[in-house]
Amino acid sequence: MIGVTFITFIVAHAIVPNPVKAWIGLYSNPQIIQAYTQRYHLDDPLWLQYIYYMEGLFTGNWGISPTTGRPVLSEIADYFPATFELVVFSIILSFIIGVPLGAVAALRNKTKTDLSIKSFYLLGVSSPPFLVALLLQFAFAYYFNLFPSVGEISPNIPPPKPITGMMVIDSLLAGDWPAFISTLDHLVLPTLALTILIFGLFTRLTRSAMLDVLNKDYVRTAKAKGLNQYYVDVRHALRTALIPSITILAVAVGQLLGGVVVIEYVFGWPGIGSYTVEAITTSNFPDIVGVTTIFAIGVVVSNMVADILYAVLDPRIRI
Amino acid sequence: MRDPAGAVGLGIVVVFLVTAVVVGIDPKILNYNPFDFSFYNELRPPSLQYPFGTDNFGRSILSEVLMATPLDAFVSIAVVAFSLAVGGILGALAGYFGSKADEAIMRLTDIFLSFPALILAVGISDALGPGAIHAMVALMVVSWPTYARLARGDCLAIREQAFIKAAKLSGRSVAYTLRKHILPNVSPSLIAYASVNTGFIIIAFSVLGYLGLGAQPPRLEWGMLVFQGQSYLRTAPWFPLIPGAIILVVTVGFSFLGDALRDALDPTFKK
Repeated sequence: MIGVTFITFIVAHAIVPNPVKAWIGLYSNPQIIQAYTQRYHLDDPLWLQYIYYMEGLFTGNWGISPTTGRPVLSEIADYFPATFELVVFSIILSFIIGVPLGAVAALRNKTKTDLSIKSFYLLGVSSPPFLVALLLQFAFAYYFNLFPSVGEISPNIPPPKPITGMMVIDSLLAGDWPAFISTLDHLVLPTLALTILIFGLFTRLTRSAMLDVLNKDYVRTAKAKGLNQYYVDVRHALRTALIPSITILAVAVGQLLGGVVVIEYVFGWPGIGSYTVEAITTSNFPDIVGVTTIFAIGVVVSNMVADILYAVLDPRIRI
Repeated sequence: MRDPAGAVGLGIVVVFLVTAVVVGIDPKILNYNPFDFSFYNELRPPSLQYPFGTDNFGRSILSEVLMATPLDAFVSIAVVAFSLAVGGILGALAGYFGSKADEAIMRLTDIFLSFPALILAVGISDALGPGAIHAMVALMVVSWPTYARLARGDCLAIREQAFIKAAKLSGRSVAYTLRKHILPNVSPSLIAYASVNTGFIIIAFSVLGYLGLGAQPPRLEWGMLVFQGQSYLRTAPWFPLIPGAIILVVTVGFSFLGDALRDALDPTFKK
């Protein structure tokens, strides 16, 4: 983790000589530049800046965003729930779709079903995120006019009371039906886009895990005992095959976070991804540094969650 | 060929590379003039004359896609070559020597791998400034750790085998053992992965281009084309969708090729 902050810092600071000019724009004069430079410690030697940065990191002071003047951390906190909502739903959906497909592919190994499933997920994984997003947007939002194309909620519906910050959950909790329907509606396309990109991971893994397990002795024993085929497949084989999927949860989140930037931008989803894009286009360094750190933290956390789930599920491993 | 998917993949990759080389060496072959605005032809759907349609300035999208090919090809190959060399060697060294060297190198790769790759690439690219070269460097930094991991794993697996020990005992130098014994056994999986990875590097580079961090106008790049086209999604869907689809096709081609390579190079694979 130390390495992570170090690299983030280097990345954000070491290369740009004077970002202040970019922030202030055309109306700069020497006094303002001086004030900003001092405030962001830009005239201090690099290692001193790093100390300030680490200090800020731990005390929750991630700097002030140059464009809006608000603390970076509070901005990230504002945008975070939307992304969290999107990521969680996408992972769940990918799992629900991906794992059974993988199991089916394994059971029907070397048949046409297997082949078509494989092609399907290959297309999903190999697609550039913007293609998936734009394609979905075009097909469902414009052509078929089924789902709204941008935003989290329709403009004419008042947003629900922010409890968790996640609009779908909030509207459910508040019993606010119009808002709930609207947010759910808006959630569909981005989630679908992310799912298409990710489900292949689960499918491929489940398929090969199932194939391994299906050949193992204890499965063959069960079959020889004449147990009902379904019982054998689901109870014995699938359970073991689920384990790798948990492990790959962290990897999935990593990939997801990569795609989330583009998907959020295309669908106008007000999350960290859009925030990142905006930070990049405005050369907004504290923002970028903050965002990169958040992403890294996200990955570390999901790794930990995966480890915990793994230990819970596999009776052979006890912490 | 026994492997139809592999053949298709190989075909796609060959077309891609040949186009890249041909256009790279002599761009004028396409008669593409970025200033050849043809207002009459703005946003035309695909037709015989303009197989991919036209963009908002009336330029043929097919020409733009072809013009962008050398850049994507060059960047992805450069990144993969770099990652293969650096990652492969570092990984093999880590696996071969074990203990301290192994730990040090693995820590290093851990740092990089704990980031979502694309995000880190975005961060580095942004810090370096816009431009294709910077994006390429960012992708290089992000890609090599996976190769190192792969190489290390393979190396560890074969390290204990008899012929390695025999080579050691017969007093061969480390460099020799590495070169003649380790590398040939480690390479197959690395090369197969490299092929698949190339496709993903292309995607990554085009995402960077889409965000404005990669190639800059008037240089053409597929991701950039998609970005330019997306405002016209409703009225001229071919504009953003076709370059995106091209990226998909090329990536799939590399994936198929990678799978076929893996099957072909792996002596333990029973068919």
